[in-house]
Amino acid sequence: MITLSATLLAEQKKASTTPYVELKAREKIASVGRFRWTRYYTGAEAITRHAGGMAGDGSLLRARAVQNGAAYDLSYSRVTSPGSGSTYSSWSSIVADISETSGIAIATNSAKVDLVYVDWQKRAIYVKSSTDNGATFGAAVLADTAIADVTHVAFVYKDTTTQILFYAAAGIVYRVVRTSGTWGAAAAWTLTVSTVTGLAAHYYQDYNLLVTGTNAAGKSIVWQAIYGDGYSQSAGTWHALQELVVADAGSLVTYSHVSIGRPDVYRTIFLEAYSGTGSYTTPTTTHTLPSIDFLDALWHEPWPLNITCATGIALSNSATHAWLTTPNGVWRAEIAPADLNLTADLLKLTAYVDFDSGKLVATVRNDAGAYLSTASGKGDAWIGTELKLGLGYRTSAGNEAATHLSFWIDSYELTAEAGKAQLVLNASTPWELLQRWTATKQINYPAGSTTIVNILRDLMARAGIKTTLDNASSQLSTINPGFTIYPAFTIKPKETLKSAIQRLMLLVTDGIRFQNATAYVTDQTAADASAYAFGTTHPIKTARYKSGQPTSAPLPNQVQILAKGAFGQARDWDQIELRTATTTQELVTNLTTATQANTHAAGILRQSTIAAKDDTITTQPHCGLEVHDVVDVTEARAGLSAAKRRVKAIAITYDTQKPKFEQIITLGGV
Amino acid sequence: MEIRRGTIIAFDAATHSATIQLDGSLAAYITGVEVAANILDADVIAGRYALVAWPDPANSDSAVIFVVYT
Repeated sequence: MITLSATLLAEQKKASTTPYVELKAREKIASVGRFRWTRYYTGAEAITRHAGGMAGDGSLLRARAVQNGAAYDLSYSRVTSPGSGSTYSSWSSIVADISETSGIAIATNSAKVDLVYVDWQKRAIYVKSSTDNGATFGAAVLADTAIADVTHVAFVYKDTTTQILFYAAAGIVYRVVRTSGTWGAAAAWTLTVSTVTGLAAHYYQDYNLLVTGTNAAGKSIVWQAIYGDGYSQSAGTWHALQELVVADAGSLVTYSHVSIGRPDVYRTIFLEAYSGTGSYTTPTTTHTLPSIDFLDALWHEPWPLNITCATGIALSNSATHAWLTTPNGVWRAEIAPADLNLTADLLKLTAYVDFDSGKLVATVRNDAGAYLSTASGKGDAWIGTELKLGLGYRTSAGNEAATHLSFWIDSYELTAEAGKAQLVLNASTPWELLQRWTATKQINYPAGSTTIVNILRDLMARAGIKTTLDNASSQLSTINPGFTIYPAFTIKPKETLKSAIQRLMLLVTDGIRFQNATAYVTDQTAADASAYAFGTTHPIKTARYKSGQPTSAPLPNQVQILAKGAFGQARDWDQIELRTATTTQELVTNLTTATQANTHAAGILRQSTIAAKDDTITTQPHCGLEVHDVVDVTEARAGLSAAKRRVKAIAITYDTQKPKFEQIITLGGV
Repeated sequence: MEIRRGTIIAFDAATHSATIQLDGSLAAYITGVEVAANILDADVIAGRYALVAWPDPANSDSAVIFVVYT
């Protein structure tokens, strides 16, 4: 239950109130900003190795290899105040005879800019530096001479004193530290891969790297690696490689040319190529979740970008905009567009949430067509937009609302008649985001490799959803080896995330509720304390109280778990005495002890307990109520005095015309 | 019980298990899938189709190949 202010708590119990319902449209893919790229430049430049960066004064910096006879020059472009009308086709050749196969890098720190390239012999790595936002560069300085041909370079600033050059040669990544302008000796990483096909680095708390390549088994992989600076990894040491994306050997799928940036969260673009019949090479992008560490390695499922460039895509950003660059293209996206506030034009809405679904239908006034214009609204880009709902009242402290519910728009429609027009927005909860995601490959978690909660975090992250444990069960704890389960779990092609998560959660007794795009996982026990009371100070307007079998399907009163080498069961003795035994048996071979099996049986039996009550009460809306909350219900005529019930579903109706503001709560047993 | 079709990628006679590419899984295989004892080693050939069953769908280790065909 969301914690409400004392004034809001008091207001929602009053007989006469003034509703305050807030609705804002936000550019979010689940928890992370949705970047809408606008192409600013389409040129005729040849596709070669290239780099991009953003100087402290907002200049867009680009560098690329340009063929000059049998050799290649380093060509450079600096566009001050880049915008839609800027000239992106102006390039200057600043270095002759560079390697086209070794890569180029640009690093920036306020007015400092460094340009990294490798000479034509592919081993001598040079850096040209600027202190005026890339307007001019000093003479090239030799940073290192590799012992094998260099294939990829990356350069990052920790601060104005310390910077690190990373480069790949013969499948090994090296780091060279520059301290106060003095280059140190190169040192190889302590990790092992077979080949490196892409390398990118970003400094934030540690040196965070992305590497594409192959391992000894021939698998193509996108890895993340950390060269520690004392945050998640000890300074000067390497954290083990973590896999983001894996393609098995022989699958003909490979990954290469990776870039990284952190305009808001960590974002990356890498190339995915398939060389079988129907071959393709597609830039693929993904991002992490907000407020997590790089070490957590929680990335959204990668998705394709509608850009063609066989040498990868460079990603850079200013404080307000992210930029993509290729030799012949420039794109820009706003990092954090302002929310579009629909509150003043909201005419009516219905919102519904239950244990595993939810819908919102909102109608807003659109008489002047403002919301379907690209200037003042979202044009045709309403699909996928987040609607953040605030439920509240006008209180003595002003307009107050609880804003924990978010929905994502599936469809919209305009209804028009003479003199008026309405925009109707149809949206769903994060469960729909999970339902829309479909596996395109086998995803496997071998037995013993990780816990249920880590699998859950990984699965949720693939839809951009963060997972938080909130009084979760002991099975989800990582500190209780007697209960913690390390299951063998797999997601098969075509399965949805929703299905996979529901299947995973069958192993535990916890329930999931969403606050915006965060999944809260909470155990449900018969001992759960009541968080609120209806029927006393918060009146019930209408009610129906129903007990017993809710549908034609019988509710089990005895649950037996056939675990691997163990047996567990749970019984509702009162129900067995009334109706004899109705038994459910389940084969759950991920459980291996009687304790696990008994706990699991109890969890399933509790679902029967919850389902065996199906009350509905209509009240003035409680703004902070959530599914899974336990509340007291008092209704003397039904024989209920502070009877505990669990919230199964909440339906809100708000209509400014009637006017109407009410909440229908579906309640189950505890 | 869940049943899927896949293609045999490799067979390990020592463990009588196979690596399978399930239909729809372009980039990833599932390894170490037990092959039913009544299926002869000689029949488990890379490129052939297989039907895989999961008696416990929540446990990937419960998979077994029970049919191999071309």
